[in-house]
Amino acid sequence: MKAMKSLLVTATSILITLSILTTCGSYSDIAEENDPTTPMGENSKTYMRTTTDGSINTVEMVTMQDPVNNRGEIDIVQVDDDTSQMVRNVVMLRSAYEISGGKIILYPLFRYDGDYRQKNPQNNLGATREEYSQGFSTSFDYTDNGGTPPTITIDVFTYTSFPHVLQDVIDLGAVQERADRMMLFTDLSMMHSQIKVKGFGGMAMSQYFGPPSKFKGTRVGTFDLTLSGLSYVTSHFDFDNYSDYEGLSHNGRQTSSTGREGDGTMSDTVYFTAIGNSETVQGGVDFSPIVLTGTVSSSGYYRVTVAGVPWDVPHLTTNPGNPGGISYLDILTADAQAGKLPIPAVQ
Amino acid sequence: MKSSVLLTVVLFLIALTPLAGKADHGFFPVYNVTHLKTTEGDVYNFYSPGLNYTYNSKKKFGFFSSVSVLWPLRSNQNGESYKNSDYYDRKFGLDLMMGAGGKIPTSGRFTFVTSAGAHLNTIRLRGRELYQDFYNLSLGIGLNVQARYAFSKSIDGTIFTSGSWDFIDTIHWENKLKNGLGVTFGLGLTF
Repeated sequence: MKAMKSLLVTATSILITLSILTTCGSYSDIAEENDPTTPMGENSKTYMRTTTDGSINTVEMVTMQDPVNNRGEIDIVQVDDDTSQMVRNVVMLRSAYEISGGKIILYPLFRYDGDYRQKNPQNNLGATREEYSQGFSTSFDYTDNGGTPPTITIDVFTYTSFPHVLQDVIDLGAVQERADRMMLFTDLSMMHSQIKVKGFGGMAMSQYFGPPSKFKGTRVGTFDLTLSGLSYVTSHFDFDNYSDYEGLSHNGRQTSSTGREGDGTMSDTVYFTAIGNSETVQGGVDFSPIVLTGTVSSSGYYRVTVAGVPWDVPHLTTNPGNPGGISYLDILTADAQAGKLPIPAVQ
Repeated sequence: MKSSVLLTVVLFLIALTPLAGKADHGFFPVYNVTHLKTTEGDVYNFYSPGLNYTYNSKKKFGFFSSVSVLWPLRSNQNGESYKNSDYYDRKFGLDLMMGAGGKIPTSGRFTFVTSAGAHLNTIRLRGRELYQDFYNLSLGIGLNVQARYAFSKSIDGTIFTSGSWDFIDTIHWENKLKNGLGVTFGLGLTF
């Protein structure tokens, strides 16, 4: 009887432990890569557009591989802040492209989807990845407008060369607004990296417990993700020359420590190098003063150092009415009115 | 690998209880094939050698349990074959069955033991740096059939086969398990 009890206890313990440790979204494929991204290299170009349309504010980053025979790969990241729903949706589409006869033909390879809103990660799947079947394509009108700053037009949207946008920000000088914008650009990179992690923000992220998992930058570099802890989970994103956008690269570590309901704190510093079309500025974002509620920042501030000067930047929010935070909507509307950053396109 | 060996040792130690004389304890090298089909139509097969411990009550009808620790060395998804060590640095599986069994003695040295019960199967492949982990944890029912030949009063040569049908997925939210089938073959000794 004792042996039976021992077996039952052992089996039950194994079952419970495995269930807790291995909750995941869906079956992964055998030999499935963490990140199917093929780095585009240093010569890839990034363009940016912003739009404010009612309660929805959009930032879109387009990174294009240097074309060979008018072909290459393209990475399109769209961040939508829906201030009425207080949710930030992030979509990344990776496609092969071909430019021909005033058109850009996209052959989608895969896409990532993620969102940022207060949520209990135990009830959420987290970021997802979908791979497209071969043969699907879509095309848009395309024009390389050249000029200063260089712009391209895809469909009805005009995108501005990102190094020129960075230069506009560098030219602001040693003021709070420059630190705010460098924080937003760093946040764009952080969001871009996070949605590459299948399950980010949900229970499916538990599949990354254990040794570091490696992911790739859209242009160059990598980051390692390490998860540890049981009831209180700590995640480390370690960036190594990581770059999703032309002119912006990151080193350092971002850490978050949260309970099972997504409440907790952040820590450590991610450093940035911003290379504008004529100047370079370096700095870092210290996440230590940030408090997380339901997986997103709810209070505190970022300690942003730009060219050696420290600034406190309020936590990010999708709610412009939140006096404790800053939002993309506030920043970009102000920039558009001031004639800085890309002019919002008509939708 | 280290944790798998440790678990195997722990399970074997359970057998060495003061009650050891009141039960049959079987030890087997085994070969297991696990087949999984998901709701989105993906089909996986895992091929694993392993070690098994089987517990049977000495009574004509009584408690039965069987634990196989598996090393999934090869796999196959949708017709494409993989050598798991190329993509995973840890490969571990557990096939567990618990229930009741009955003995069917014959006039000679042969005894047949048939058992049925609840079944659990888990496979964990921990991805190398650039690869995703693979997890399965499914529950269902199973059947185990042993044919024993008595070498002596206390030692039987035993051949067994077990089959299982899993239909409960405990860890996936999407593209869940539709059904899982498992077959295990073992040849060893029962004390």
